Amino acid sequence: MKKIAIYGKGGIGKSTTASNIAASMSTMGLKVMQIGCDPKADSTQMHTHGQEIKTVLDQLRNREKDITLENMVKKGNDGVMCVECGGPIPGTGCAGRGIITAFEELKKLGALSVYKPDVVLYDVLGDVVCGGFAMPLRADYSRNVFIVTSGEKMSLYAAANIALALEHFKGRGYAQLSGIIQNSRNIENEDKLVEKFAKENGVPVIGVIPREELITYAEGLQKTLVEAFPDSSTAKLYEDLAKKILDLSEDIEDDDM
Amino acid sequence: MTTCKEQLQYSSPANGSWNLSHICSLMPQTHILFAVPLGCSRIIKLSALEKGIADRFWTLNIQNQDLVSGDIEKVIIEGAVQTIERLTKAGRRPRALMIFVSCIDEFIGCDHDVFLSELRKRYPDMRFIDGFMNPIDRHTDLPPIVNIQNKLTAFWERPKVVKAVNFIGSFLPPNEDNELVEYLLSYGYKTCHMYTRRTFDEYIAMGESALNIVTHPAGVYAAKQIQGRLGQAWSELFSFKTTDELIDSYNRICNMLCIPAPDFIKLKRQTSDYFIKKATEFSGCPIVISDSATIKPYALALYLLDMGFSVKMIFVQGPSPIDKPDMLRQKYPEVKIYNVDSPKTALIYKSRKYALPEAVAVGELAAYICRSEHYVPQIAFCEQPGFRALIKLIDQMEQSIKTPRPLEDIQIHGKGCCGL
Repeated sequence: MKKIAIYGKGGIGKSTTASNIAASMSTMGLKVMQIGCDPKADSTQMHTHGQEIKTVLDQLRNREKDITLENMVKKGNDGVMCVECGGPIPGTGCAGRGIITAFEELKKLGALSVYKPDVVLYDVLGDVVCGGFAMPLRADYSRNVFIVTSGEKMSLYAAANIALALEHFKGRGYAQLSGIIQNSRNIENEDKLVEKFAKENGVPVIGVIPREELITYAEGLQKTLVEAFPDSSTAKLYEDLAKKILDLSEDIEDDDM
Repeated sequence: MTTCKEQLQYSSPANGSWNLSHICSLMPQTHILFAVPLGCSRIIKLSALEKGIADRFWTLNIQNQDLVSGDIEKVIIEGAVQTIERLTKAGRRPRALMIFVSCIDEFIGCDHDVFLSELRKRYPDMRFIDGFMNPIDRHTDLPPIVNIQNKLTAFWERPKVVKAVNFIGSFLPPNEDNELVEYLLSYGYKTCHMYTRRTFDEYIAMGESALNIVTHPAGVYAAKQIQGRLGQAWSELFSFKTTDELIDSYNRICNMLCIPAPDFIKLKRQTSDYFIKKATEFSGCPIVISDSATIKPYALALYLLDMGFSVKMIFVQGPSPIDKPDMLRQKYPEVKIYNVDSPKTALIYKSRKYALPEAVAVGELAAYICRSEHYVPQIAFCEQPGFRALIKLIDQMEQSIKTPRPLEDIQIHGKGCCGL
C-alpha cells in the first residue's frame, strides 16, 4: 500500500491534479482511494461526475444512527473510491479539528483494512495552516508528500511553507517531501522558477502539466481529463506523472490509518 | 442533531465522587503531570490537596503562546523533564509518569507519540502513559472512567502466574471479612487490589495473578484488554447481587480457579433471615435509593421490597448498563422512578416535591434530593460485594436513623473517597 499526500496553495489545481493522477492509477488496475481534506468537500467530484457525497463530518454532525463506511466511501465512475472529510459551515467551528475528527473516525471504522486500497491519496486544503492540516503528514496516514505549484510567487510561497512544515516535523518519522508537480500558469521563466524551488528543497520536479483548455473543458463535463479524453497527450502526461509518483512512494505493509 | 434542550443536564451537588486525581493516585510511586491551561487544572489541584497527594501532582500551564507556537509537544517534553529531574534531585524519582492533556489538545493536533517516544528514549527506566481529562475526547469512544481503568492496568506484567486473585473495577478493595476473600485465602489465594499496592513493582505484579474479579462494569473493558495482552482470565462480581446471584458468581469464580465451590448456604440463609428481621424493625420506614450508591438500583430496590422493606423512590442519572427497571415496575408499580438528569430537577428540588426527610437514603444523591439526613454515603464505585456486605448495608441503614449526618457533608468534593 502506498500512502501519498498532495499539498499546495488553494486554487492551484491540487484537486484536479490529484483526481487525474488517481484516475490514471485506477486505469492501471490499481485500487485507489482519494480522501479530500478540504471543508469545501469538492476534491472528488470529478470521479462522481459532480454527484455530492456524504462527508464524514456530515454524518458525525447529524449524529446519524449508522455511521458506516458504506455511507462514507463512494465508488466513482472511474473506479476511484472517494471520501470527503468535510468541515464546519464556513465561518464557524474549527476546520483543522474537523480533519482530525474525520481521520479518527475513518481509522476507528478501519477504512483501509476494509477497502484495502493499493494507493491512498490525500488531497489537502491549501496550506499547512494548523495542526489539523498537518494530520495527513503523520506516518500513520501518509509517507510521501508531493507539492503542486505554479511559478507564481504566491504559489511558491505556499509551497515553501509546506516544505517548512515538513522540515519542522523531521525526526518525528512523518511523511517526507518527495517531489514537486508543476501546474503551469504560463508565467515568464516558470519552469526555471519551479526548478529552482525544487532544487532548494532537494527534490525533483516530477512532472509539468501545461495550462491546457482541455483540462478546463473536462472539468466542465465534471470528469477528469483522463476519463473524458483518455487518448489526449495530457492524459499521457498524467499517466507518466502517476507512474513517477508510484515509483517515488514508499511501499508499506497493509495496515490501517 | 442534538438540541440544546437535550444537552442541558442537571448535576446535583451530590457528585463529589472519585475523579482523575483520586483514581490515578492508586498507582504507587507514580506522578501525574497535567499539561493543561490554568483553569482546567484548578479542580485537579483542589482534589489532590483534599486527598493529601498534592506532592504527586504537577501542572504545566499551557498558555496562548504555546498554542500559537506549534511546539506543544516540545513544551510537554520540557515540562516532563523538569518534573522528573526535580524529583530525581530530591531522591524521589518516580517509576512512572502519567501525562494528562485537556480538550485544547484536540484542536491543535498534538501528537502524543512524539512526546511519549522522546521521554521513553530519555528515561528508559521509567514508564510513560498519556491520559485525557477531556469531555469532548474523540480519541476513544470509551467513557473516561472506563478508559482510565484500562490505562492504569496497561503496565501490568506477567512473567509468571502466582496464587493470587485481583479485584478490579471498583476503587476500593473488598472488605477483609468478605466471605469470598476468606474462602480464597483458605485455598492459598491472596487477594490484590490497586488500593493496597504499596510499590510500583507490587502494582505491576498484579499481572501475575490467576484471575481478575471485576466488581464494577467500568472495569470490564480493562479486564478484556488484559486478557488479550497477558492471558489473565476474568470473571464478574458486580454489586448489587441477590443471595442467589452471589452463590452463582462464587461458584463460577471457584470453578475458574479449579477449587471446590464454597458452601455458603448457611450464610445465605442468615443473610435472608437478617433482612426479613430488620424489615420488621424498620416497620415501613420509607427508603429511597440513588444510582450514586449502586450500579444496580432497581435490583437492590426489588430485593429490599421482596424482603419486606418499604422502598418509595429511586433516583437515577441515566440508564444503567446492567440493570433494568422492568421487573420492579411490574412487581411494585407504586415505586416512583425519577431521572434526575433533567434540568427540571432543579425546579422540582426547589419546590420540595421530592422532600422526604424521614426517609433512609441509600446514596448521597437520594439523600440530597429528599433532604434526608439519614443516609448511607455509599458510592457506586466503592460498592462492596458479598453476603456480609449486604448485612453491613442494612446495619448502615439502621445506623443512619440513629445517627443523622449533615447534608452539607454531601457537597464536600471527593467526600467518601479513600477515607476522606
